[in-house]
Amino acid sequence: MASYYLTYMINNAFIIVIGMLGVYVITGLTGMFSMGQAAFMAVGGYTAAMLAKYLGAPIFITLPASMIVGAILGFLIGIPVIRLRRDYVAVVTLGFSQALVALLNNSASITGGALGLNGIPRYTNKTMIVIILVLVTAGIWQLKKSRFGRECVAIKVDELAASSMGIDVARTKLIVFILACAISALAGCLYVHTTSYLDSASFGWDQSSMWIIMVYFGGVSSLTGSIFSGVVLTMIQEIFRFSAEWRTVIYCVIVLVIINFRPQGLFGETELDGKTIRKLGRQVISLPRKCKNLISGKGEK
Amino acid sequence: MGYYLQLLVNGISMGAVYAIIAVGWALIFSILKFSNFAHGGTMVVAAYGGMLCTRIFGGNLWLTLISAALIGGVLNIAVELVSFRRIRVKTNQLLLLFVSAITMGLLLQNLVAIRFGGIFYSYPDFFANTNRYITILGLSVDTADLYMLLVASICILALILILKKTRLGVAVRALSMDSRATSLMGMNVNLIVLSTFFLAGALAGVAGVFVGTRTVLSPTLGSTYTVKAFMVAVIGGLGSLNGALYAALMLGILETFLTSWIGSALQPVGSFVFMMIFLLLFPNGLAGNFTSDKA
Amino acid sequence: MKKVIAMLLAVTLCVSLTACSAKEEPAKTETPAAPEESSTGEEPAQSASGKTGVLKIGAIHDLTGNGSVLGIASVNGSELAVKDINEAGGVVIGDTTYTLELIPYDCKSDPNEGISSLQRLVQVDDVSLVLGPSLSNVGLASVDTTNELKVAFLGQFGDPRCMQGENLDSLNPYMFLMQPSAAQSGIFSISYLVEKLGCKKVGFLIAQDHAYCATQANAALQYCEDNNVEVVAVEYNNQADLDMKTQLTNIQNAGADCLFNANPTQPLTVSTNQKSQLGFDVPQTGSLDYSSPFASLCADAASASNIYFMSNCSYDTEEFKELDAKCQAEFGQEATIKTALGYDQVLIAVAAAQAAGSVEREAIRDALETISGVDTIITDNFNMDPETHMPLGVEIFMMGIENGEYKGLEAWCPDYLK
Repeated sequence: MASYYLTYMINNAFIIVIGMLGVYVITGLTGMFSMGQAAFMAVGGYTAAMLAKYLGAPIFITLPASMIVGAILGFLIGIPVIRLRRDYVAVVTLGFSQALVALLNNSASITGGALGLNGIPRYTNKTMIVIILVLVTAGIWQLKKSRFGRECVAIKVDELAASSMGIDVARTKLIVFILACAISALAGCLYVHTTSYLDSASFGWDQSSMWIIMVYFGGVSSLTGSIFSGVVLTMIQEIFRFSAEWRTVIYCVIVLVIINFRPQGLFGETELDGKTIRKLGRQVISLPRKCKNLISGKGEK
Repeated sequence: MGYYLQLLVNGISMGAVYAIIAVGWALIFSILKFSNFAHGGTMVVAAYGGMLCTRIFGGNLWLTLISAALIGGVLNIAVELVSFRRIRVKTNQLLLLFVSAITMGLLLQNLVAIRFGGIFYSYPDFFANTNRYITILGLSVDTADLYMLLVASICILALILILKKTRLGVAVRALSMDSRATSLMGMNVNLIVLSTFFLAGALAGVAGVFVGTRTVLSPTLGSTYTVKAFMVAVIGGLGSLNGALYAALMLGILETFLTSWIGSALQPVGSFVFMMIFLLLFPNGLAGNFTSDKA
Repeated sequence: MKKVIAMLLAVTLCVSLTACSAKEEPAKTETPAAPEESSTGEEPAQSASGKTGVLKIGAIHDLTGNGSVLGIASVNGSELAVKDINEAGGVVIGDTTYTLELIPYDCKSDPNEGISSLQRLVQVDDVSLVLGPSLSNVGLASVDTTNELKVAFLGQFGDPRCMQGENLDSLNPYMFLMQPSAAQSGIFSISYLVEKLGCKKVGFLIAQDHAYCATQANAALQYCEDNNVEVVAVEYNNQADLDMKTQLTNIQNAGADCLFNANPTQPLTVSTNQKSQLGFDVPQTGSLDYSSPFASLCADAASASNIYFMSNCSYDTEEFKELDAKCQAEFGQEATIKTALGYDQVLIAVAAAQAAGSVEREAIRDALETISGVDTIITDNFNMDPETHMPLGVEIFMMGIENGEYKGLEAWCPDYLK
């Protein structure tokens, strides 16, 4: 039982979380809004799948290759996107994801089209996925704390002010967009080497909007919050699997309640770092004392 | 020549479907400044509701349209109260409204799937006593499409009249310009928002019936149109009703011609390229005068 | 402070969720598992009758998302079968009377979800075998997992690659199909038009984003190539398209004298209406999606005309009418061919368990491979071909639709398939 959930968490939730981190980087750092991020996961997935299947490439080739192809496509889509306002970014990325699915279906001789590609070698194991997730998280963490990350947040808060402070808004946004696409493509590569099968139907706009929901559920300003909510929301669907068709309803209700009653997301702007954990620990330790004070205080009255 | 005229006619009838969905979408965007992704969900529920009503009224198109519009309107009020009211009043973070809308759309779609899943439903034949299609100047036009063009025009004209001539319309337009000033002027913002949601929901209901008569009802029907309506609303210039109208016709015609030239398979690619070029040339959409997006 | 409280809340939410599931799940699984273990363990020692157990059957279907209509219909059918068997007092396997328990899981037409559902059904719920969806993608992705878990996966997936591997030259030991494959279905349909109705110029309209339709159309195209039948036009559409007049006009202008319309129900209805609108009155064929209630979904009776399709089931049989009545009573919906397939999946599964005389997964797989003579709704005599893991000697019945009325035509099998 427990081992099943652990496997599920690593093989499914962690890969989805890596893909979602692409959305986090775009939205959490610069405030742009991508509705087609799952398409970049498809890009990475197909790159890895075709390299491994047709050329027999090992994972240390497919992994960087999928990231590079994801980054190149991110660059091409990013050039027009960064000049647009938020909703326009959303619509262009959405259009891209639809166009990509159409292209994949249309080149059935190499991509398999709607029939999909099967028999792709399984290269991943649990340790590998965990290590990659930790590495990606650490990378984004460092980025967020760096000068570049602070510039991004400045753009998110006020683009005009940021550019008047000498920040090259277009360049910063483009770099972030490319980075995000590479991360999502990496998730696609891991996905395909875990599932061993790939088709175009799994990467529509509904998957992309799921990722946006996850990022906001956890708190768009908190990296650890987004990761936490990504894992929790994926696991909720798994835990409620026995409820068959009701599970999406349960999922939606939970998300609606949190979004309505805790609009800043579960974690708000807090990061689950050493400082917070220590603070949390102190709170827990002092809890009995506080309770005692409370009771005795009441008793005096 | 005749072939291209026929394509044009097909494209316009396609565009009319997009228009009636996208206008409702633009209406909500104009006052709340966010993309209501729950619109497709409302449309599906109203379409199924209208289908149930045909079992009571028989094949009367007008009664069905009115009841579907009412269902859509009332449902949209519920959607506003449940998923937007609190966020709007407490934080007014546009992106949160957006996330809430996506979730609500998903919820509605799945509730429909639970109740009506398992079998495809369709509307009865509203046009049993008339010809299925009319031939004008060698062009074959679907009767259902003609009715749809007619009803879509009536709905949109009625909407324009409401917005231009009534107190509610003035209030909606005031709200779309500046919500704080509107509430400072002593108007009941919540009531205006609810009325707007009702209007948009009614349009979604009408759209649901027409999409339903064109194809077969399935719970995921709304998903495709949500995406199209979003594209149309953006190309039209977010929040602009006229822009949405023109953009809907443009997209309908464009898709039909692209399907003819490069095939349906590659048509999304063509549409995407067109949209990209269009947005680079006109970064504010067709209407082009909508700039007050600061959030 | 507030932030810290929020964090605490979040963590408790997480912990309580996992705790809930951890508490609930064993309770859900262990109670039925206990008698099952005891029954299998003590079988040789005690042969006295009166022992009871629970035969758990997993089912993976698309209950949300694009294929939900088909998935829900299948699960409804399976549930009716389970209910019928349980009301009749269960099923005797070996010396034990088993009641059935169906555990349906949703896979959202996502291959990865399908794999997880399989793992959960075997590792957590400990089912005896798994019934599968009509989605080939889930089937294709599950092959390795069924080999690892050693569980039979009896599906409706139309793609023969699920059973016979990439190049159709091997056999996946745990994958089974219980209806004609998409490829067979395409050949049955096209050959009837060509050989019986004498059509010479075939036009194709293919939903290229639909796996079943694409497989079916590919097989039909292959048939045309092998038999020197001229293919005058191949047009593609997407499932969500509402306007296929453009493609149909192209096919019409190419001079096709029949149409192979490889589309699922929704676009099939749209294209059939529009074909009639264009005055393009040639015979058309396609998949099972023409089956009832397709004709009633069309705009009018005149549109639903000149249609020929292969059906593995006639709707006039007593069994089907009975199923329809039960389905209406239980779910308020008419039975479709998918309901019948879902019902039959359970019947075949139970028959396999009886033939195996055990509820062990491996034993059921072995029995399933050679199962024969099962009386199901669709056929009175269901036989599995051990060479292909697909049904042997499928009885195919050609049906036609004229003016909105279904009519049975004749049993049909082209030489190409013999």
